[in-house]
Amino acid sequence: MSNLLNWIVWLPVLGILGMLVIPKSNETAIKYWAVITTAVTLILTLILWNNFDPTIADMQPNFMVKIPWIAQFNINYTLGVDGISLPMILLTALLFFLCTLASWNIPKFIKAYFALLLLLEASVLGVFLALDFFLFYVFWEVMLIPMFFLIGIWGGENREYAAIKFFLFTFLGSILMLVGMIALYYVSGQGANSFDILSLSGGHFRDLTVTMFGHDLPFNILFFIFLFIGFAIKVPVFPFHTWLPHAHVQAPTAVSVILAGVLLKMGTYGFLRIAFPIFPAASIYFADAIAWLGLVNIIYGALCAMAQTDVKKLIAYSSISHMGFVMLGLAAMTVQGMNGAVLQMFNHGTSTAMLFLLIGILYERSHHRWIIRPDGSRGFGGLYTQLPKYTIIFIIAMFASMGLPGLSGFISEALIFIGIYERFTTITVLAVFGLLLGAAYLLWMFKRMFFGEVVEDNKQYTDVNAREIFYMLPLVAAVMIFGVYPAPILNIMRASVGKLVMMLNTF
Amino acid sequence: MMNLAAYLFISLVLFLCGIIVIIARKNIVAILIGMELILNAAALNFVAYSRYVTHHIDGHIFPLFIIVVAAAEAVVGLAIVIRFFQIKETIHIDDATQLQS
Amino acid sequence: MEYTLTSIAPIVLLPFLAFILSALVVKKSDNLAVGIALSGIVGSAIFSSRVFYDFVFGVYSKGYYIHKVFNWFDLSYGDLVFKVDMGIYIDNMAAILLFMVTMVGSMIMIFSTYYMKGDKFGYGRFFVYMILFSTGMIGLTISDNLLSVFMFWELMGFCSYSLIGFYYQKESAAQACVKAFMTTRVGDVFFLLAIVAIWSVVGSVSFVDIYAALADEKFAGLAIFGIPLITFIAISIFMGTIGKSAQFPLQVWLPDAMQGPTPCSAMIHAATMVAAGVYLALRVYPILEAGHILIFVAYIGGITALGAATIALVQTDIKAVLAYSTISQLGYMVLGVGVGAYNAAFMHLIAHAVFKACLFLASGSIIHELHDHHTGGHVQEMPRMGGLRKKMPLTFIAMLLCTFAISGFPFFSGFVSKDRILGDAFVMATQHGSFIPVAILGYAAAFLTAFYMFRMMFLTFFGEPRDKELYDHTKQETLLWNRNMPLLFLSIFTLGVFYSGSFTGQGLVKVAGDRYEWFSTLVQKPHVENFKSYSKSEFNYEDSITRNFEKSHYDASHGMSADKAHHVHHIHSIGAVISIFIALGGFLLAFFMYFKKSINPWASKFAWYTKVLKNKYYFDDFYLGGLIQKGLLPMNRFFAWIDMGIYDRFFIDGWERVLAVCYSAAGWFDRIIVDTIFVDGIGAGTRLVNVILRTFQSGKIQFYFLVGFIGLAGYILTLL
Repeated sequence: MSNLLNWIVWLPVLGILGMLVIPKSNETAIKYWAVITTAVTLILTLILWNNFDPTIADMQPNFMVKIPWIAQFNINYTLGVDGISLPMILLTALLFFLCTLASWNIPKFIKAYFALLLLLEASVLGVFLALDFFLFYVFWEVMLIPMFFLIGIWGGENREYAAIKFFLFTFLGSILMLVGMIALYYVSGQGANSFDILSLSGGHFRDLTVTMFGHDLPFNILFFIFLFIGFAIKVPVFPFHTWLPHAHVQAPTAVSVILAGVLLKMGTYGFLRIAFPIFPAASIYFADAIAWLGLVNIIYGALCAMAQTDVKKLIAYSSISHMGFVMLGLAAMTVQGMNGAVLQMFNHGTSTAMLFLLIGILYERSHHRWIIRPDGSRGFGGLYTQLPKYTIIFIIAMFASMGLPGLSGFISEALIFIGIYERFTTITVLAVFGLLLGAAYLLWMFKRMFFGEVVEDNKQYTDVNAREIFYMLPLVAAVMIFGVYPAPILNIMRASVGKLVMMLNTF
Repeated sequence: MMNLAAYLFISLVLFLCGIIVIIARKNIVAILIGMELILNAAALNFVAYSRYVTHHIDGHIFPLFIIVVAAAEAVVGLAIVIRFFQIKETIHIDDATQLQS
Repeated sequence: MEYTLTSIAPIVLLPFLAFILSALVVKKSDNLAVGIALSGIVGSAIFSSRVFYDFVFGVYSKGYYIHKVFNWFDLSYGDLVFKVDMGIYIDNMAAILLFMVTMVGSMIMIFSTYYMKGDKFGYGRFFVYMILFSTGMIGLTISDNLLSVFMFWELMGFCSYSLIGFYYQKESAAQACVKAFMTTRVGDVFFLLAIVAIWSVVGSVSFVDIYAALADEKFAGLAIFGIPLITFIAISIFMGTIGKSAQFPLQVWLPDAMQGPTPCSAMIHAATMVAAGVYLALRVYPILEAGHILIFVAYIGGITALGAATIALVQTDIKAVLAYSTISQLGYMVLGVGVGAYNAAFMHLIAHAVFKACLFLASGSIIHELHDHHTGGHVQEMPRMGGLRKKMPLTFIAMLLCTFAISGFPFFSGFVSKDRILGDAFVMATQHGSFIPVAILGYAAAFLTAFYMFRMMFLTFFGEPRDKELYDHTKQETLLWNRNMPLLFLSIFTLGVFYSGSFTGQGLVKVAGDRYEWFSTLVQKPHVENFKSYSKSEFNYEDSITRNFEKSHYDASHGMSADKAHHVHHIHSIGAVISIFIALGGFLLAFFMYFKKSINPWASKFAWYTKVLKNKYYFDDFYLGGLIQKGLLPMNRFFAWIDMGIYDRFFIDGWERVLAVCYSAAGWFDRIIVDTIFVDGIGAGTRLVNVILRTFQSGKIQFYFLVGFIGLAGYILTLL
């Protein structure tokens, strides 16, 4: 049991090694092998969930892995799981499993595609489990490589542009994070410098200053900004968001799902795991700014989403809008808001993944994504008549995304609003209208795509098949069950989140 | 009785034959044969010196090595020749000028 | 018998279970899904009739309530406490509403088996939505807190969206369902804001906690944006009512809601959705009162009542007339809330639900039979009807009774309830001058109501058939269990005796050994002082039966001096007489205009006003054409253009230009200075040497060998 986290992280890599012996021509075997690997990873994470003790707020002691890695620099290979990372681990393993199923019709280089997908899974799981900043950084960077190739090779018509944009943006963030990491290493302790996140946490660096260009700057403010930008690019927070629509539109279905469902959460996870615990005073100092940025994300993302005619781009902007709620919840620094934010990370992962998977299903039939084509004619229309089963799943996904009570999104959004109200009343009042806009763009999209008479070239589309229904069902179940009864997810996170909030409140 | 000088003379003749073949002949196979001659000359020298000067077994061992190495060398050399012939359809040594920039 | 959570939960769980099951089987068998849905609602009706009986005739009828709480989730850690409880709260008002919802819902769904049979858009699918809709309303009725009210509220929003968009191939249905959802969502957003604000003060949104907080004056002194917090909360929560109950200025969605099948209109307009808004306003009445916005509520109600009634005058679609009459009647209820006629507003809610459900079902009965053989569609335009009472006598009788009720004729339910609302408005007007316009609006709307309803009756059932072919094709009505039974059942309950029992002035129900008018006795304003320092015990699954209500001020002996009570009673009598005359006046005007001539003589005289009315006071044009088409969408396109066209293109991709300048400068330096002079300089020198050495590099192996041999020979020579 103590090696479970190792198994979870490295199993996809073992899967890649196993895949090497399968001949390139045997495509079916490659696909099934990838499915089996991700399925076993999912099962391991479920075992982890089963053995998780929700009363422990710290890292689960049963699962901690700590092995010296580069002993000269006191760098350890440290893995651990707590209530904040476990929901993300579950989400990651689930989405990768579904994504391998959704990648059945990849047109070219099947072996390389699945190998990269598995590498991506390993690195994302590593980011969520790493407790050494150096290890965290390594996984964070490794994640870039498969993403770059997955978008750049299997993407749409403008894929190189999108891949390079994604890479450069993320890399800029990584560099700032690297600077912050190294700075932390040097102040972390006399004689025993360390990258250990747990020992860095707790706000030890309040009174330090750092001299830059002849000025004494407060250490924690400066490097909080560095880490903030590093993570904010990933979220993405408003001024750093433009890579997202490009990357989403160009990426193949499964990669869009992973991008929206998991990778965006790495940014907010970074806040929760690294930026806030290490610089609590600075994060309280910047809480106002974070909240306002979150508000801008919500409103601006929703307004931009409403104008899109490419359905994938619309959902991409909706992701920006929804991640704004997470930012708001983080800025609240109350137990409701933080729990709401983590829950929103999970819920947005499931609902947006559903939407992207559904659009992928549609794209396999239509080979375009226009609600309204650039020449003004209707791209989709009357799909309700043409694809009844597909429509039902789409309705569930759409209403979950807009936060209809009874589906998952509502609880997290309500918790966030309750959490932020006392501290940011004005922002709450404004942000609530984001819900209105959110309903508007989704319903308008739905109306244009699904209602009315069937558009002529939509008449050949076939309804969802058994495989597609199979991989949609877990998500449908997740949004419905956690919408009515969110306690299973909230229970695992509440102790860890509560501890973080309590620590922040002492500053 | 034959003495050391006689052996060395024969060895010299063999050596010079080999040099001349290598320098003068344009056929790569012939050049390889020339190299074999030179190797044989060297082997003969070893044996002669061992017999008349050192009275030691070492000099007898060395020709055996030379024979083995020569055989291996001939194999590699002929393989190169065959590949060369397949590419150039000739075994004329002056056509092997790829090293020239 | 005591109620436990498990004995009371089936009221909402049964229909929910029926929804899940019917949704699962609807692909396989329509009839099975319909059967499950029907048994779900009927089962819930049976359970709730027990609750109803206990609360009206039995042990609970003295202002007791059932309150059961369970923990939904708990985020507490250490001394940071945050718990969310859900619970069931049933008092007399909830019990009555519950009974009405399940009964009317059952009737509507029974009627739907007639109306929707064989519908190509899905007979079973319709019932799946309907049962979910009922679940939402039932759950809302018995909720003990605003959060679960909001959840069921939105669930109904979703169901209304699905039902209005039921005919998904119709463009108008698509428009209407989005409009309905979005318009109500505007109100919902404010409602959510109110919930959040209440939570921040009270730490819970349970009704009893809110009442207790009001009694403890926890809101005192708090302000937001310069206005008292409690006023802000009251307005926000009332915005929810405005959205859901289609009050001015968010009334635009309700007329369009008739794009759905007619039984769903009955469900939305009568039993469930719009009633929820008024029910909410009644539940949070203490907040409205504490926020001092009752006059605002009254004005909204009055404006809505009159405005919608005027629009109804010019409608020719039978369902549109009914839709506007719904808005108008909802305006009455809200007006009733505003003038403090608490139980009268609730009584009107119940009475209206019954007669409006019946009216819609009756109109459905007409529409379903009027089949246009040219277009293949159903006819709902009144100009093509006329004389139908001979063809459909049973529908006619049901509809006539309901029309009497809605018009406020004596001995009918509408008279009992509306008279009290108007009477209270009248009393308020005599006491506060600012309420005089409210009373005038109310009476004017009452007059118009009688007029347009009888106009509809005359145009539909009387006179000569205007479309002879259509008339001849219509079948003679026969008694069908699922067509006429629900109509007749509902129309019986339009009689006033069921609501007041005041044929003799004595109530039906015996309370404390005395007979009272049961509505006025049982449904009373929550008196927050009784909840002072009340807190619900944690996780209690037990009954908490407490008497916590004051007597209504209708009961002349309570809460008022005998002198004042007499005065109020006196004014009420005057108000009642006025409203009788007004109803008769409306009837007579309609009689002379439409029965005698069956044309509209005023349409030409007030052409511009008719045009304004036909355009519904231009609200749709303003919202859709103005705010959305001219405001929101261009703004969206502007922002999207800023984002991709300006920000991304110049500020993000612009870095490429900056870098291009940098790297071309660096490239020039590298090429000219570093490369040409330093690197190539060395290179040129090397090349010179190279030329010399090159001559030796013949590439001929024998030449190399020869040179090597000569060199070796030379070396050996030097050794010699």
